[in-house]
Amino acid sequence: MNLRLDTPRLVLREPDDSDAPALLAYASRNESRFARWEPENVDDLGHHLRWVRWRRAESAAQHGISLLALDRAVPGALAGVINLYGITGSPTFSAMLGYSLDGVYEGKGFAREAVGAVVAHAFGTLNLHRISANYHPANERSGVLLRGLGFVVEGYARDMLYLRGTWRDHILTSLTNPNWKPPGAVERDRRA
Amino acid sequence: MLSDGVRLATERLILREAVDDDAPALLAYHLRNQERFAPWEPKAGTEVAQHRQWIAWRRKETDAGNALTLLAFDRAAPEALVGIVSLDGFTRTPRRTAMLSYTVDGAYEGKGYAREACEAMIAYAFDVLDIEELNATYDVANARSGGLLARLGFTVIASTPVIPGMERLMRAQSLAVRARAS
Repeated sequence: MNLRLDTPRLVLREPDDSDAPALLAYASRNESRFARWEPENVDDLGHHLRWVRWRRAESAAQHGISLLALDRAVPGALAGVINLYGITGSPTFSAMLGYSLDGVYEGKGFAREAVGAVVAHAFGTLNLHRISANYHPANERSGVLLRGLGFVVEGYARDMLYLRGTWRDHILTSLTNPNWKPPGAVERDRRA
Repeated sequence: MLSDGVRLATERLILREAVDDDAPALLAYHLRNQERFAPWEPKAGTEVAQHRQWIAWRRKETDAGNALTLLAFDRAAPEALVGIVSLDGFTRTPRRTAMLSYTVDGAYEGKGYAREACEAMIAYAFDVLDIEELNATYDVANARSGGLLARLGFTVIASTPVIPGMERLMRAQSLAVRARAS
Protein backbone atom coordinates (compact mmCIF):
# COMPACT_ATOMS: atom_id res chain seq x y z
CA MET A 1 0.00 0.00 0.00
CA ASN A 2 2.67 2.48 1.04
CA LEU A 3 5.14 3.15 -1.72
CA ARG A 4 8.82 2.90 -0.81
CA LEU A 5 11.74 3.49 -3.16
CA ASP A 6 15.36 2.77 -2.29
CA THR A 7 18.36 4.60 -3.71
CA PRO A 8 22.01 4.27 -2.69
CA ARG A 9 21.88 7.05 -0.11
CA LEU A 10 18.16 7.63 0.42
CA VAL A 11 14.95 5.92 1.37
CA LEU A 12 11.89 7.46 -0.24
CA ARG A 13 8.59 6.72 1.43
CA GLU A 14 5.13 8.20 1.73
CA PRO A 15 4.50 10.49 4.71
CA ASP A 16 2.19 9.67 7.57
CA ASP A 17 0.70 11.84 10.32
CA SER A 18 3.68 11.49 12.61
CA ASP A 19 5.94 13.06 9.96
CA ALA A 20 4.16 16.40 10.30
CA PRO A 21 6.60 17.81 12.91
CA ALA A 22 9.60 16.90 10.73
CA LEU A 23 7.93 18.59 7.73
CA LEU A 24 7.29 21.74 9.75
CA ALA A 25 10.94 21.76 10.89
CA TYR A 26 12.08 21.20 7.28
CA ALA A 27 10.00 24.10 5.96
CA SER A 28 11.13 26.33 8.84
CA ARG A 29 14.86 25.70 8.58
CA ASN A 30 14.75 26.19 4.79
CA GLU A 31 12.40 29.17 4.84
CA SER A 32 15.00 31.68 3.59
CA ARG A 33 16.04 29.32 0.76
CA PHE A 34 12.47 28.45 -0.25
CA ALA A 35 11.24 32.05 -0.01
CA ARG A 36 11.78 32.72 -3.73
CA TRP A 37 10.14 29.54 -5.02
CA GLU A 38 7.71 28.13 -2.51
CA PRO A 39 4.53 29.33 -0.81
CA GLU A 40 5.07 30.94 2.56
CA ASN A 41 5.75 28.55 5.40
CA VAL A 42 2.92 28.36 7.89
CA ASP A 43 4.28 27.88 11.39
CA ASP A 44 1.40 25.63 12.37
CA LEU A 45 1.72 21.90 12.86
CA GLY A 46 -1.90 21.43 11.86
CA HIS A 47 -1.16 22.98 8.45
CA HIS A 48 1.58 20.42 7.76
CA LEU A 49 -0.59 17.60 9.11
CA ARG A 50 -3.37 18.62 6.72
CA TRP A 51 -0.83 18.56 3.90
CA VAL A 52 0.17 14.98 4.82
CA ARG A 53 -3.46 13.92 4.94
CA TRP A 54 -4.25 15.60 1.61
CA ARG A 55 -1.29 13.84 -0.03
CA ARG A 56 -2.31 10.50 1.44
CA ALA A 57 -5.85 10.98 0.12
CA GLU A 58 -4.43 11.85 -3.32
CA SER A 59 -2.27 8.74 -3.17
CA ALA A 60 -5.21 6.53 -2.18
CA ALA A 61 -7.18 7.95 -5.13
CA GLN A 62 -4.13 7.39 -7.39
CA HIS A 63 -4.13 11.09 -8.28
CA GLY A 64 -0.73 11.84 -6.83
CA ILE A 65 2.18 10.67 -4.73
CA SER A 66 4.39 12.47 -2.26
CA LEU A 67 7.59 10.91 -1.02
CA LEU A 68 9.86 11.95 1.80
CA ALA A 69 13.54 11.43 0.98
CA LEU A 70 15.27 10.26 4.15
CA ASP A 71 19.02 10.04 4.57
CA ARG A 72 20.05 6.42 5.20
CA ALA A 73 23.17 7.63 7.03
CA VAL A 74 21.30 9.88 9.48
CA PRO A 75 18.13 8.22 10.76
CA GLY A 76 15.21 10.63 10.71
CA ALA A 77 16.97 13.28 8.61
CA LEU A 78 14.56 14.65 6.02
CA ALA A 79 16.68 15.47 2.95
CA GLY A 80 13.90 16.39 0.55
CA VAL A 81 10.31 16.03 -0.60
CA ILE A 82 9.31 14.82 -4.06
CA ASN A 83 5.76 15.20 -5.35
CA LEU A 84 3.81 13.92 -8.33
CA TYR A 85 0.59 15.85 -8.91
CA GLY A 86 -2.30 15.26 -11.27
CA ILE A 87 -1.54 11.70 -12.30
CA THR A 88 -3.74 11.22 -15.34
CA GLY A 89 -4.44 8.15 -17.43
CA SER A 90 -5.60 7.94 -21.04
CA PRO A 91 -5.02 9.79 -23.26
CA THR A 92 -2.16 11.81 -21.73
CA PHE A 93 -0.67 9.29 -19.24
CA SER A 94 1.01 12.17 -17.47
CA ALA A 95 1.84 13.82 -14.18
CA MET A 96 3.47 16.99 -12.85
CA LEU A 97 6.64 16.81 -10.81
CA GLY A 98 7.61 19.05 -7.91
CA TYR A 99 10.43 18.82 -5.39
CA SER A 100 12.39 20.59 -2.70
CA LEU A 101 15.66 19.78 -1.00
CA ASP A 102 17.10 20.62 2.39
CA GLY A 103 19.97 23.12 2.25
CA VAL A 104 22.40 20.72 3.91
CA TYR A 105 21.91 18.24 1.05
CA GLU A 106 22.21 20.74 -1.78
CA GLY A 107 24.90 20.35 -4.43
CA LYS A 108 25.73 16.71 -3.64
CA GLY A 109 23.52 14.87 -6.09
CA PHE A 110 20.81 14.01 -3.56
CA ALA A 111 18.06 15.79 -5.49
CA ARG A 112 19.07 13.98 -8.64
CA GLU A 113 19.08 10.66 -6.80
CA ALA A 114 15.62 11.23 -5.32
CA VAL A 115 13.96 12.78 -8.36
CA GLY A 116 15.57 10.18 -10.61
CA ALA A 117 14.06 7.37 -8.54
CA VAL A 118 10.61 8.96 -8.70
CA VAL A 119 10.88 9.47 -12.46
CA ALA A 120 11.92 5.83 -12.85
CA HIS A 121 8.91 4.75 -10.76
CA ALA A 122 6.56 6.99 -12.76
CA PHE A 123 7.82 5.69 -16.08
CA GLY A 124 8.22 2.07 -14.96
CA THR A 125 5.59 0.96 -12.47
CA LEU A 126 3.06 3.70 -13.24
CA ASN A 127 3.78 3.53 -16.99
CA LEU A 128 3.30 7.28 -17.42
CA HIS A 129 4.33 8.77 -20.74
CA ARG A 130 5.02 12.37 -19.81
CA ILE A 131 6.25 14.14 -16.70
CA SER A 132 6.19 17.90 -16.74
CA ALA A 133 8.13 20.09 -14.35
CA ASN A 134 8.25 23.87 -14.10
CA TYR A 135 10.86 26.05 -12.45
CA HIS A 136 11.49 29.69 -11.74
CA PRO A 137 13.86 31.24 -14.32
CA ALA A 138 16.23 32.35 -11.55
CA ASN A 139 16.31 28.89 -9.95
CA GLU A 140 19.29 27.70 -11.92
CA ARG A 141 19.89 24.70 -9.65
CA SER A 142 16.45 23.41 -10.49
CA GLY A 143 17.10 23.92 -14.22
CA VAL A 144 20.41 22.05 -14.01
CA LEU A 145 18.73 19.19 -12.14
CA LEU A 146 15.97 18.86 -14.74
CA ARG A 147 18.34 19.11 -17.73
CA GLY A 148 20.57 16.50 -16.13
CA LEU A 149 17.62 14.11 -15.96
CA GLY A 150 16.83 14.75 -19.63
CA PHE A 151 13.94 17.19 -19.24
CA VAL A 152 13.53 19.43 -22.27
CA VAL A 153 12.40 23.06 -22.15
CA GLU A 154 9.02 23.46 -23.84
CA GLY A 155 8.08 27.00 -23.09
CA TYR A 156 7.98 30.02 -20.88
CA ALA A 157 4.85 30.76 -18.88
CA ARG A 158 4.44 34.36 -17.78
CA ASP A 159 2.73 35.01 -14.44
CA MET A 160 2.14 31.32 -13.84
CA LEU A 161 2.17 31.07 -10.04
CA TYR A 162 0.87 33.49 -7.45
CA LEU A 163 3.31 33.13 -4.56
CA ARG A 164 3.76 35.43 -1.59
CA GLY A 165 1.75 38.19 -3.17
CA THR A 166 3.31 38.31 -6.64
CA TRP A 167 2.94 36.48 -9.93
CA ARG A 168 5.98 34.40 -10.92
CA ASP A 169 7.10 33.34 -14.37
CA HIS A 170 8.03 29.72 -14.90
CA ILE A 171 10.03 27.76 -17.43
CA LEU A 172 8.08 24.71 -18.62
CA THR A 173 9.92 21.44 -19.17
CA SER A 174 8.96 17.84 -19.70
CA LEU A 175 10.37 14.38 -20.12
CA THR A 176 8.73 11.63 -22.14
CA ASN A 177 9.04 7.91 -21.59
CA PRO A 178 10.79 6.07 -24.45
CA ASN A 179 9.72 2.71 -22.96
CA TRP A 180 6.06 3.55 -22.54
CA LYS A 181 3.74 0.65 -23.27
CA PRO A 182 0.16 0.97 -24.52
CA PRO A 183 -2.22 -0.22 -21.74
CA GLY A 184 -3.06 -3.41 -23.64
CA ALA A 185 0.64 -4.32 -23.79
CA VAL A 186 0.96 -3.88 -20.03
CA GLU A 187 -1.95 -6.27 -19.52
CA ARG A 188 -0.32 -8.81 -21.85
CA ASP A 189 2.98 -8.50 -19.94
CA ARG A 190 1.17 -9.10 -16.65
CA ARG A 191 -0.52 -12.23 -17.97
CA ALA A 192 2.70 -13.57 -19.44
CA MET B 1 -23.14 15.04 2.81
CA LEU B 2 -21.74 14.60 6.30
CA SER B 3 -24.45 16.60 7.93
CA ASP B 4 -27.76 18.20 7.32
CA GLY B 5 -27.76 20.86 9.99
CA VAL B 6 -26.03 19.00 12.81
CA ARG B 7 -27.27 20.03 16.26
CA LEU B 8 -25.87 18.55 19.48
CA ALA B 9 -27.06 19.24 23.00
CA THR B 10 -24.96 18.83 26.17
CA GLU B 11 -25.74 19.68 29.77
CA ARG B 12 -24.82 23.35 29.39
CA LEU B 13 -24.36 23.86 25.64
CA ILE B 14 -26.10 23.73 22.28
CA LEU B 15 -23.74 23.00 19.38
CA ARG B 16 -24.96 23.79 15.90
CA GLU B 17 -23.70 24.74 12.46
CA ALA B 18 -23.22 28.43 11.74
CA VAL B 19 -25.79 30.38 9.73
CA ASP B 20 -25.36 33.76 8.00
CA ASP B 21 -26.87 35.62 10.95
CA ASP B 22 -24.07 34.38 13.22
CA ALA B 23 -21.52 36.64 11.51
CA PRO B 24 -21.80 39.57 13.99
CA ALA B 25 -21.49 37.16 16.95
CA LEU B 26 -18.42 35.56 15.37
CA LEU B 27 -16.81 38.94 14.80
CA ALA B 28 -17.48 39.93 18.42
CA TYR B 29 -16.12 36.57 19.62
CA HIS B 30 -12.84 37.05 17.73
CA LEU B 31 -12.49 40.70 18.73
CA ARG B 32 -12.95 40.07 22.46
CA ASN B 33 -10.57 37.09 22.33
CA GLN B 34 -8.03 38.69 19.97
CA GLU B 35 -5.18 38.82 22.49
CA ARG B 36 -5.84 35.32 23.79
CA PHE B 37 -5.99 33.75 20.31
CA ALA B 38 -3.11 35.74 18.78
CA PRO B 39 -0.28 33.35 19.76
CA TRP B 40 -2.05 30.26 18.37
CA GLU B 41 -4.55 31.22 15.70
CA PRO B 42 -4.31 32.96 12.34
CA LYS B 43 -5.65 36.50 12.56
CA ALA B 44 -9.43 36.60 12.14
CA GLY B 45 -11.23 39.12 9.96
CA THR B 46 -12.18 42.46 11.44
CA GLU B 47 -15.31 42.95 9.28
CA VAL B 48 -18.68 41.24 9.59
CA ALA B 49 -18.51 40.43 5.86
CA GLN B 50 -15.33 38.38 6.40
CA HIS B 51 -17.10 36.26 8.99
CA ARG B 52 -20.08 35.82 6.66
CA GLN B 53 -17.54 34.53 4.09
CA TRP B 54 -16.04 32.23 6.70
CA ILE B 55 -19.51 30.82 7.47
CA ALA B 56 -20.15 30.22 3.74
CA TRP B 57 -16.75 28.53 3.41
CA ARG B 58 -17.38 26.23 6.38
CA ARG B 59 -20.84 25.40 4.97
CA LYS B 60 -19.28 24.54 1.59
CA GLU B 61 -16.62 22.37 3.25
CA THR B 62 -19.28 20.63 5.33
CA ASP B 63 -21.53 20.01 2.32
CA ALA B 64 -18.53 18.58 0.43
CA GLY B 65 -17.87 16.16 3.29
CA ASN B 66 -14.52 17.78 4.09
CA ALA B 67 -15.34 19.30 7.46
CA LEU B 68 -17.86 19.93 10.20
CA THR B 69 -17.78 23.17 12.19
CA LEU B 70 -20.08 23.70 15.16
CA LEU B 71 -20.67 26.82 17.22
CA ALA B 72 -21.28 26.20 20.92
CA PHE B 73 -23.86 28.42 22.63
CA ASP B 74 -24.60 28.71 26.34
CA ARG B 75 -28.01 27.20 27.11
CA ALA B 76 -28.31 29.61 30.04
CA ALA B 77 -27.56 32.64 27.82
CA PRO B 78 -28.53 31.58 24.28
CA GLU B 79 -26.91 34.61 22.62
CA ALA B 80 -23.51 33.86 24.12
CA LEU B 81 -21.07 32.20 21.73
CA VAL B 82 -18.97 29.99 24.02
CA GLY B 83 -16.67 28.34 21.52
CA ILE B 84 -16.06 26.79 18.11
CA VAL B 85 -15.30 23.11 17.50
CA SER B 86 -14.27 21.72 14.12
CA LEU B 87 -13.50 18.46 12.42
CA ASP B 88 -11.58 18.46 9.15
CA GLY B 89 -8.69 16.73 7.39
CA PHE B 90 -10.80 13.59 6.94
CA THR B 91 -9.16 10.44 5.62
CA ARG B 92 -11.17 7.44 4.50
CA THR B 93 -8.52 4.88 3.63
CA PRO B 94 -6.95 2.89 5.12
CA ARG B 95 -8.76 4.21 8.21
CA ARG B 96 -11.43 6.78 8.83
CA THR B 97 -9.76 9.61 10.73
CA ALA B 98 -10.21 13.35 11.24
CA MET B 99 -8.56 16.34 12.87
CA LEU B 100 -10.18 18.07 15.85
CA SER B 101 -9.67 21.77 16.57
CA TYR B 102 -11.34 24.20 18.96
CA THR B 103 -11.36 27.63 20.55
CA VAL B 104 -13.21 28.80 23.66
CA ASP B 105 -14.24 32.26 24.83
CA GLY B 106 -12.16 33.74 27.65
CA ALA B 107 -15.20 34.16 29.89
CA TYR B 108 -15.89 30.42 29.67
CA GLU B 109 -12.30 29.28 30.10
CA GLY B 110 -11.37 26.96 32.97
CA LYS B 111 -14.92 25.80 33.67
CA GLY B 112 -15.06 22.65 31.59
CA TYR B 113 -16.99 24.19 28.68
CA ALA B 114 -14.32 23.42 26.08
CA ARG B 115 -14.20 19.86 27.33
CA GLU B 116 -17.99 19.56 27.20
CA ALA B 117 -18.11 20.87 23.62
CA CYS B 118 -15.20 18.69 22.46
CA GLU B 119 -16.65 15.58 24.10
CA ALA B 120 -19.92 16.09 22.23
CA MET B 121 -18.06 16.52 18.95
CA ILE B 122 -15.87 13.49 19.64
CA ALA B 123 -18.90 11.32 20.43
CA TYR B 124 -20.54 12.52 17.21
CA ALA B 125 -17.37 11.76 15.22
CA PHE B 126 -16.99 8.26 16.62
CA ASP B 127 -20.64 7.23 16.80
CA VAL B 128 -22.29 9.00 13.88
CA LEU B 129 -19.50 9.73 11.40
CA ASP B 130 -17.88 6.37 12.13
CA ILE B 131 -14.44 7.98 12.60
CA GLU B 132 -11.94 5.48 14.01
CA GLU B 133 -9.26 7.90 15.17
CA LEU B 134 -9.06 11.62 15.88
CA ASN B 135 -5.93 13.71 16.00
CA ALA B 136 -5.21 17.23 17.08
CA THR B 137 -2.23 19.54 17.15
CA TYR B 138 -1.44 22.06 19.86
CA ASP B 139 1.23 24.51 20.90
CA VAL B 140 3.34 23.16 23.72
CA ALA B 141 3.26 26.67 25.25
CA ASN B 142 -0.55 26.50 25.29
CA ALA B 143 -0.75 24.44 28.48
CA ARG B 144 -4.56 24.71 28.63
CA SER B 145 -4.89 23.14 25.21
CA GLY B 146 -2.48 20.33 26.07
CA GLY B 147 -4.32 19.71 29.34
CA LEU B 148 -7.68 19.63 27.57
CA LEU B 149 -6.46 17.07 25.04
CA ALA B 150 -5.02 14.91 27.83
CA ARG B 151 -8.35 15.01 29.69
CA LEU B 152 -10.13 14.11 26.46
CA GLY B 153 -8.00 10.97 26.27
CA PHE B 154 -5.54 12.11 23.59
CA THR B 155 -1.94 10.87 23.64
CA VAL B 156 1.00 12.77 22.12
CA ILE B 157 2.61 10.78 19.29
CA ALA B 158 4.96 13.32 17.73
CA SER B 159 6.44 16.74 18.49
CA THR B 160 8.42 19.32 16.59
CA PRO B 161 12.14 18.83 17.07
CA VAL B 162 13.99 21.28 19.30
CA ILE B 163 16.61 22.96 17.14
CA PRO B 164 18.74 25.62 18.83
CA GLY B 165 18.44 28.93 17.03
CA MET B 166 15.18 28.00 15.32
CA GLU B 167 12.85 29.06 18.11
CA ARG B 168 11.88 32.22 16.25
CA LEU B 169 11.11 30.30 13.07
CA MET B 170 9.09 27.49 14.55
CA ARG B 171 6.83 27.21 17.57
CA ALA B 172 7.08 24.03 19.61
CA GLN B 173 4.00 21.98 18.73
CA SER B 174 2.77 18.45 19.32
CA LEU B 175 0.47 16.02 17.58
CA ALA B 176 -1.89 13.97 19.75
CA VAL B 177 -4.26 11.16 18.80
CA ARG B 178 -7.20 9.37 20.32
CA ALA B 179 -8.57 6.11 18.94
CA ARG B 180 -12.22 5.14 19.22
CA ALA B 181 -12.74 2.65 22.04
CA SER B 182 -13.25 -0.73 20.49
